[in-house]
Amino acid sequence: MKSIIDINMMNNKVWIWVAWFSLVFSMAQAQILNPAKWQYKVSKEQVKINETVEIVFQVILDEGWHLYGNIQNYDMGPMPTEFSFETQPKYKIVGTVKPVGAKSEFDTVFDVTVNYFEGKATFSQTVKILDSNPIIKGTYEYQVCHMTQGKCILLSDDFEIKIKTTP
Amino acid sequence: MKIKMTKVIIVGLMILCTIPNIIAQNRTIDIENEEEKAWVQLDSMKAYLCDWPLQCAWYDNATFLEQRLFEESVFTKRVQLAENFMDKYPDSEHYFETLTFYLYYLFEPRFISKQIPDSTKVFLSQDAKSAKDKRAFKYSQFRAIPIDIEARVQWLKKGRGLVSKFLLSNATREQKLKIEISLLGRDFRHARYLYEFQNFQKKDMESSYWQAFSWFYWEPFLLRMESLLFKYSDIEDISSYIEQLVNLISRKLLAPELTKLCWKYFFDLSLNTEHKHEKEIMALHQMAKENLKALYDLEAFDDSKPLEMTFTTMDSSHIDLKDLRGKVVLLDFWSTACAPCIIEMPYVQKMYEKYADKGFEVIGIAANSDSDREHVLNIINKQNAKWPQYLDKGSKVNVSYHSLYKISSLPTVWLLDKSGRIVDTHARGERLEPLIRKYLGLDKN
Repeated sequence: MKSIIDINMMNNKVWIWVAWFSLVFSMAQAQILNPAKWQYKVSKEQVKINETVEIVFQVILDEGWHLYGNIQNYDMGPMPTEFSFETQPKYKIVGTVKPVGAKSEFDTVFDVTVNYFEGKATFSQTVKILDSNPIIKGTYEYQVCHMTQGKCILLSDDFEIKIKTTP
Repeated sequence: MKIKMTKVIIVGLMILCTIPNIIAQNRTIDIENEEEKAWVQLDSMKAYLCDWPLQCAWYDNATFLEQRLFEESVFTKRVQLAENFMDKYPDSEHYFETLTFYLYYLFEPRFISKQIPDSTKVFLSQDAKSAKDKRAFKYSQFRAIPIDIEARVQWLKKGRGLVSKFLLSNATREQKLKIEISLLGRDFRHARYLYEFQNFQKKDMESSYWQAFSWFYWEPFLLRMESLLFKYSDIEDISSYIEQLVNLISRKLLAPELTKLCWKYFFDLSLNTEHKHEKEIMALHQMAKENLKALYDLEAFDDSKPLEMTFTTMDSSHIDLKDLRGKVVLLDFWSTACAPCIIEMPYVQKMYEKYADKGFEVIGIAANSDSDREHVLNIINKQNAKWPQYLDKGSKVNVSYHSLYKISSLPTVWLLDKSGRIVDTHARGERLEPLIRKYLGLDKN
């Protein structure tokens, strides 16, 4: 009984740094130079097969940096954040990635309304679990811009999210 | 009555007999639970840094010293969890994974000394933001952290010991390779911290000195990799580990001067070995060959030499930078998604008009494809930008200049002097006009 309580308590605090498995040699210091720090969380600790979970990506943005929503209503404008998930028999992606808490602003450079994030960004994706202990893999690509420093950076990273299933 | 008593006794006996069974069962379940619990705790702690959102917000705003001490406590906790797990459950199915964790960077305390002199504390609490060179300041702070070197050496030794033990176990060869690579990775990271925090200022004139220095410093890692290559040449992926290692050594802040030497090393190695027909060695050879070829293509990028580029612009005129020697040329790397790049255009146009007849040229290199042609035209018309534009991701382009020169931050603006050498890579805003005047030679008295 106690162990379950412990696990649940942990779950509330655990945010996992993305791309943790990508390189044997990777460095903690690498985070310093990137204005966007990505983390993810899974909505449930205990998942049964055929249930759905939410994969929540949380991005912390350094001051002054903008990240752009994955859903935009323009042909030309800042590069929207793009997610791609690997297709695998163990899980199924349900619907599209939902941006949470984006602001919108009319951009006078492109003459369009742009959805963007400031300070922090959240994206959420529903996934249906079809088999035991799947590993959800994919990549995201994004552009962050700093208007007063007048620059944009293009970045991308891989993610690997382990889901534990219970019978 | 008698019958009842017997019944009670029998039932009682039955219960008594089953109790040990229940206890025994419970115990095994408990052990599994304990192990599983310890594993779950370790697995969730491995990347947990702070409580969201309050503690994380505190961490983001803490001083350099507070951040390092906070990380230290988290990392030490992780190491303890991993060590306890391996001590307690040497036969666990999670042992291998735990050992890889233990060798990862997330399980790496700095071994900060308990006693930090007050003067050091003051220095380590300063904010790098106000420093002139933030990176250099941060490095000097890292160098100033007092380290308990004995504790660190003990920990390094312990890791090595655990690896040696693992290599004698009956784990698979894939797992053994992974563990040996992880140990190499750990030692590499330490060497890298020490090297990077020193912030070497490598002057052009000293290039051969730095090549020799860096080779001497990094060669042991190549040798270790070489012995792993031959030990595990039957296992897929070994060549990709080599690629990772070489790419890391040749990063900008480490030893880019070694890139070619490293690839040449593995090229020769894979060519001259008796194992050269093995699949992984052949893969490595191919990899080294392609990298060397790309490096020769990159030679033109040596910014002590005139830059060479030829391409056809959107209005079908042919540009060869060689034909522009004698002029000062601005190369504007941009994309249609980059607002700051677009905002800058009218000002560059003003400079272009002002200095064109004195020998100033501008060329736009857009990270866009043929399908973005209309967008590019719309933007340059709206911004009244009259200089030639080139679609760098067009269908006929094999390697775009943006990827060849690893340009990921936009705008990137290179200024070439009359000899065609890159003399500035941030020629923007207020900096631009003085630079144009300087390299056109207009300010000479």
